[in-house]
Amino acid sequence: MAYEGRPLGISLEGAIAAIKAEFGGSSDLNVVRTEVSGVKCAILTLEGMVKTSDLAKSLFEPLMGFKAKNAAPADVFKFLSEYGLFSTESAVINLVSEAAERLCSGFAVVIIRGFPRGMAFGAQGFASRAVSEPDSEPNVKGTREALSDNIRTSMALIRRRIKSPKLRFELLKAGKLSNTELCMVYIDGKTPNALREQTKKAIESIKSDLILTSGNIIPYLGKNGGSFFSGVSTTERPDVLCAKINGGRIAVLIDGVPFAAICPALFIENFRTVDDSADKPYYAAYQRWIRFFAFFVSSMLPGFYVAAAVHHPEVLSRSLLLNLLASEERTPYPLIAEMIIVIVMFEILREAGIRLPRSIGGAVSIVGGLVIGDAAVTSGLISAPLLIIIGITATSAFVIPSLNPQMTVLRILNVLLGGAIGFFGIALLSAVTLINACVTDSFAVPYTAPLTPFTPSEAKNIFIKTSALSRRDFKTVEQLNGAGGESGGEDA
Amino acid sequence: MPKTEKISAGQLMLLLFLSRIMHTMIFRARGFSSGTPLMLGLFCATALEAVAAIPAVLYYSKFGGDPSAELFKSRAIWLRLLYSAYFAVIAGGTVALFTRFLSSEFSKTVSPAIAIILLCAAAAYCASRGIEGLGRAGTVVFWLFAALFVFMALVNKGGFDWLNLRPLTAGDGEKFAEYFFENLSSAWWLPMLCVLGESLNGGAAKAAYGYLALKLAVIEALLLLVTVILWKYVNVIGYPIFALGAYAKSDFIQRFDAINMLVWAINCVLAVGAYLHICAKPFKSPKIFSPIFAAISAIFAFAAYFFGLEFDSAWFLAFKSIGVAALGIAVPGAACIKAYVSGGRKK
Repeated sequence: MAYEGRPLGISLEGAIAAIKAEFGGSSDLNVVRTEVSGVKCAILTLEGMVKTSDLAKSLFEPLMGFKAKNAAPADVFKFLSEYGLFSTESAVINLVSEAAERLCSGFAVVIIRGFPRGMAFGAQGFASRAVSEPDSEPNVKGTREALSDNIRTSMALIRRRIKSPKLRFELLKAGKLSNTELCMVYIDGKTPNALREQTKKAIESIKSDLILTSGNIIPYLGKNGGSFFSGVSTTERPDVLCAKINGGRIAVLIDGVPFAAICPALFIENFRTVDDSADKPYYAAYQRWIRFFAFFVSSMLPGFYVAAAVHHPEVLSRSLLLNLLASEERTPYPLIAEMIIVIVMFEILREAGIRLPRSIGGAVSIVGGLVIGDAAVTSGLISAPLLIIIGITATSAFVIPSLNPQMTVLRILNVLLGGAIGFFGIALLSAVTLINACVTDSFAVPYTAPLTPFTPSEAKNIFIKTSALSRRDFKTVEQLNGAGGESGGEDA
Repeated sequence: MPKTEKISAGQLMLLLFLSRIMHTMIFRARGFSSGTPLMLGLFCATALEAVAAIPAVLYYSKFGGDPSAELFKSRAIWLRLLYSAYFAVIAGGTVALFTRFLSSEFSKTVSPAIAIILLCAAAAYCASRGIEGLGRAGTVVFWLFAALFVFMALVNKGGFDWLNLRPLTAGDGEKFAEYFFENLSSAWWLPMLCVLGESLNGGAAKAAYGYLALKLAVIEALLLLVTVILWKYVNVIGYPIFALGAYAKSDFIQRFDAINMLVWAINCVLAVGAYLHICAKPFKSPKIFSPIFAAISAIFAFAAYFFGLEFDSAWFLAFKSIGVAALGIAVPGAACIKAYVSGGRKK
C-alpha cells in the first residue's frame, strides 16, 4: 500500500500511474483517455464492475456535450461536481487510495489534468444472480423471493416490504482485503440502541481478511464461548428478515452473500415458519408441536432405542421386545456398532446429496435408500427395526434444518452414551446440553426465552398459536423476561 | 442490556424445590406401613421451617447483601468457607445416595465409581456456568418432573384404595418423629437461601414461602398417592416415587423404572450443580473452583459408597441439622440483629 495517503496530484499520467501501481498492474483496470472542451481527462473503471451502457449514456454523453470557451480544468471539475447529473451516487476524490476504493465498489473515476481532485460516479452494474426462490427455506404460502447476492437488491427487497422511514439501513465495511460492504438493517424505535451499538462494535472488530459467507461474521456477532447453540441465526427470506427486525432484532446483510445474519436468535424460532401465519391457528399450533416432537425424535430416538434394547428392555412392551430380539439375533454386530454404522452411512449419503449436482443427487438417494438399505437388511448386516428407526430419525431431521448440526452431534453422542451406560448417559448429556442452552445469550437476550425465563404471553403463542386478531401484547426481544437479566419474581 | 447474573424468585423457588425433591427421590423407605404419620411429619416440619425461614427472609427483604459480610466484614471468608464445606458434604451425600439407588436398581448399567465420577463432572460443568443457567434449567427440569409424575400417576396399575389411608395410632409416634426430624434435617434450603439470596433479584419471601407451599403440596400429594395406591409395593421396591412408576398399565411402555432414573439423574446433576455453585461462590473464579469442589464431593461420595460412610445415618442427620440451624437460621438472624443495631441499614 505504497500510495496510501498520496494525493492525486495535477499530473494526469502521474495519477493514472499511481492508481495502476495501487492495483499492481491488474488487467481489469480500464483507462479511457479523452478531452472535455480541450481539457485532457481520464475515466477509470474496473472491468465488469460497471454497466457500460449506463456509463455511456449518463457520463460519456454529457461530458462530450460540455462545451466551454477556453475551459480550464477547474471548469470541467465544476461541471462534474456541481452541474452534471451523472449518477445518484458521487464523491470527490483527493487521494489515490480513495480512487482505488471507489473503483472496487463499482464507481467510475474521472481524473482531470491540471486539477488535484477527481470525481467518482456510481455506475455499479456487475453481473449478479437474479432474485430467485429461497431454496434452503421453502414454504407454501409465503413469498417466492430470496435475498440476493447483490446487497442493494436485498435492501430493495426489504424496503418493498417495510415502506416506512423508520426502516434503517446502515452501511459498514469489513474484511481487511475484501473490504466487503455490510449493512445493518433495523427498525428505529423497535431495536434497542444498545443492540445497535454492540452490533456495530462487533462488525468493526472483525479481523478476517475476507468476508465470503455469513459464517465469517457470525462468530463476532454472537460471542458465546463454548456454546453448543448459536445466538445468531441466518435467513435468505426477506419476509422472515422483516418479521424478525419487527421483533426488535437486527439483521446484517453481506454483499455477495444471499443470507442475512440476525441477532439475537432464540431457540424457539427454529420451530416457527412463515406458513404458521398463513394457516389457521389450531393447525399452526399442531404443526409446531410436530416440529418440537421431530427435534426430540431426531436427536434422541436412536440413543433411546440402543439404550432401551441394551440396558433397559423393561421399558419396551413385550411384543415389541420379542420382535426386536428376533431381528437382532440375525445381525453380526453389536447394536451400538450397527447403529453408528447406519448413522455414518446416512450422513455420507446426505453429504453426497448436498454436494452433488441436483440431477445426480436424486440418484444417490435411490442408491442409498433402496439399494444399500434393502441389501443390508436382506443380507442380515443390519436389522429391519434399526433401519426403520434411522428412517424416522432422518425424516425428522429434515423438519428443522436450522438445528441440523446440533441434532446430528446429539444423535451420535446419545447413541454412544446410551449404548455404554443406558439412560443414565442420556440423562447426563441432556443435563449438560440443557445448561449449555440455558446459559447461551445473544446480546444479553437468553437463547431459551420466552420458555425460560418465562414470558407468559409469548410462550402462549408458541404452544397455542394465537390468531393475529387476538394478539395485542406483541413483545420485542428486549421486552422478554430475562433480557438483560432476570426480572424480580415475575418469571420462573 | 448488560448481563446481571441474577435469578428471579420463581427460579430460586424451583431450584430449592428440585434439590428437596431429589432428597425425596433417593429416600429409601424402611418398614413403610402407612403414609399417614409421614404426611403429618412433613406438614409439621414444613410449618416449623416456615418459622425458621423468617430471619433469612427478613434479612434479604429489609437489608440485602451477604449476611456473612454483614457479620464479619473482611473476615467473612471463613464463614463463607463453612458454607462451602457444608454444601460439599451435602453434594457428596446426594451423589452417594443416588449412586446407591443406581447400583441397587440398575446394577448392570453403570459401575458405582463411573457413576460418581460422571455425576460430579457433569455437575461441575453446570456449576461453572453460573447461577443464571442453573435457574433457567431448573424451570425446564421442574416441568419435566411434573409431566412424568402426572403421567405415572395416570397409567399406574394399582387402584385407589382409601382403606390404605388409615388413621394415626399410638404406634405411629415413632415413625412420625423419625420422619419429622428427617425432614427438618433436610431443610438445607435455608442455608441455600442465605447464599443464593444475594443472587436474587428481589422477592426473597416469595421464593421461600413459595418453595414451602410447593414442597408441601407436591410431596404430600406424592405420599398420598403412594399410600392409597401402592403402599404394599413400597416395601418391596424401597423407593416410594420409584414404586409409582414401577407398574404401568400401558401397552406402549411396561415400566417407568428407567424413565424415572433418567429424570432423576438430570435432577441430580442440576441439584448437585447448585450445591457446587454455592461451594465455589466465595471464590472469584467458579470455572476453576467448581471442579475442585466437585472432586472433594466425589471423594465424600466414594468414601460413603466404598468405605461405609453412611449419609443416612444418625451422625449425618445431626451434621445436616447443625448446618441448617447454624448457617440457615443463626447466621441470617445475627446479621439481621447487627444490621438493626448498627443503624437500621436500608436495602
